[in-house]
Amino acid sequence: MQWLDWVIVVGYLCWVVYDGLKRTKASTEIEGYFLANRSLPWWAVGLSVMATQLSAITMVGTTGQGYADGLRFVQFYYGLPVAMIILSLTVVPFFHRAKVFTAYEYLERRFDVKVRTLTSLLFLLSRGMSCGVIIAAPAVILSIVLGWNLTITVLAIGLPTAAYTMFGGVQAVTWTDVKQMFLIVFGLCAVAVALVLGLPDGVGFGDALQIAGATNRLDAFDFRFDLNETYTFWSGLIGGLFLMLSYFGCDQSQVQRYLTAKSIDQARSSLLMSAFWKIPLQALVLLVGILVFAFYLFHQPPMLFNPVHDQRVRASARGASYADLESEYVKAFEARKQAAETLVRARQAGDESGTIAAAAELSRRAGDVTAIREQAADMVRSVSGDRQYRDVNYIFPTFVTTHLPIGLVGLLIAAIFAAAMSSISSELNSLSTATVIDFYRRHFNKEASDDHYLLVSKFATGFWGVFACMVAVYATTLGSLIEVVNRFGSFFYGSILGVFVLAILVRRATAAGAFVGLLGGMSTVAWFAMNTSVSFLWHNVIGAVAVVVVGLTVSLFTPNRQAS
Amino acid sequence: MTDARSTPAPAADAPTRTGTYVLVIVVEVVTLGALWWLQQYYTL
Repeated sequence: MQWLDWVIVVGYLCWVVYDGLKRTKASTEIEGYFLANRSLPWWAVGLSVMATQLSAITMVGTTGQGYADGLRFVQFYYGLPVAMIILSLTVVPFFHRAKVFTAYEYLERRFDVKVRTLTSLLFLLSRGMSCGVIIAAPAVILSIVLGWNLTITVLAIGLPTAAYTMFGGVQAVTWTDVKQMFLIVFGLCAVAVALVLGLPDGVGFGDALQIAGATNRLDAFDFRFDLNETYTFWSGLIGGLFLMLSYFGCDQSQVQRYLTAKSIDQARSSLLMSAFWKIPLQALVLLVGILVFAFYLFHQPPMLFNPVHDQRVRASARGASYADLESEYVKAFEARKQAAETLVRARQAGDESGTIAAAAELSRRAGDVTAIREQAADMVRSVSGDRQYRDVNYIFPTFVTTHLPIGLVGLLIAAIFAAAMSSISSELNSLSTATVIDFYRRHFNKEASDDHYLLVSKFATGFWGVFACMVAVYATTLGSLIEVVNRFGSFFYGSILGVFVLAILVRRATAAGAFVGLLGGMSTVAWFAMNTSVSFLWHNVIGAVAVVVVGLTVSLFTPNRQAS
Repeated sequence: MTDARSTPAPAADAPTRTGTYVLVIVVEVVTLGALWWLQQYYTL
């Protein structure tokens, strides 16, 4: 990084803290601190909803998935628009009219305090851990790619976010989210333009797409109904629908966003913003990864993008084999480059049969390069003992730091910081809300003053900020980061959704039914996760269905509070 | 307090938004159609 890049990154960090802290005076009582007195406009809430979901893992992990697999991952979001419509019709008016602070508060009114406490506890556990992962993801990558100290990088992301969230409350979270969202989208568009301009003379955007198509990187539809495949049309539409219903409808980090809206209608509009824009935005992120792939067809990248064990492997007994593999890689890269150039020439000449033959050749040559990279990664795992070693998350940061012009590097690093901070701030804010409202005020101190709760809320935010940084420092050896977060969430998401389905749609459901159903749902998901290879997206469906079935069965044999 | 055990009815201050929901589905179909076209057109 050059001096201008440092100025941009440090300037961004100072500005975001200042911008967040100046909201402190707008958060002088607990409803203002957690819910902005239910006064925010739909567009700000909508951007905050999107910024919360779009973390730094999306910036570095999803672009890497675009490079390796193309558009396949976009199928994950096919159920989202339908989920947003269902939520707009059900929980949005429900929560707003109930005037709750947390989604789980409603469960006590419907069932009892046990159900509320258990679901809120599950939220605190899963979100507390995932908050650490969200900090760790960019910190690990930036520290390796840029040579920064890992702990300092974790603190550079976590502490400023904790500071402005702690003092500014949800006002600071929302308004910084809005600006961070603009920075992220601007950064992605800028890098997409830079990538197209960086292609060799005579190779255009259409040629890049043709190259992507020839290597199956434009496959956005896989209609196989295979429960073991993670990303298919059906897993995205059905499993993704259940995941999004749970995430946006039952997860406090999202529910709290739209509880801050001025009205039910404004809350609905804020959710529908994601319904309109999430799939195109995700396609843009993946397209950036695809363009990085096209770019690296003509500019030789390192054999492996994650250099963390590089010196160790070279110095080991297998160093010579590794060097031989590198020589093979250079030859395979050249062959792939020639195949790509042949494809571009055939396409531009309008030679249809030549284009088809060149595309098949490129696909073979790309397969050769992938095979060598996999061999190299296996060797790294074997020598280092690091079984979780992957390099897909390092592709985009490597491109940013080695090929973008001065200034744009700083902008993209700031955008990665922004993506991390916009998610973390919402999560810290919601973790604090659940801690104070569902535990402290409910179980330990019911009659304190508003000033007291406000003070405790700020301390709770600070506590979760420090906790997340501590988890982040230790969560450094995870595989594909985006999947880790989603897999972890899937253990709980479907089951919690099942409880809300019982609460809202099943009048006969009882508190005992909901409580036992929740435990039954989580046990079922755990059994499937440990004993089958069913993909994690389907865990959401399994969990929700198991809770409803077990909950209904138990409800039939237990007294109904309403009836009694 | 709202009777939390009842199924929520549309609130008085909130329009039904049926047109917007239909538009969401139309936009999704168009978006997926564009992705489908991209896949078919560039995959040889």
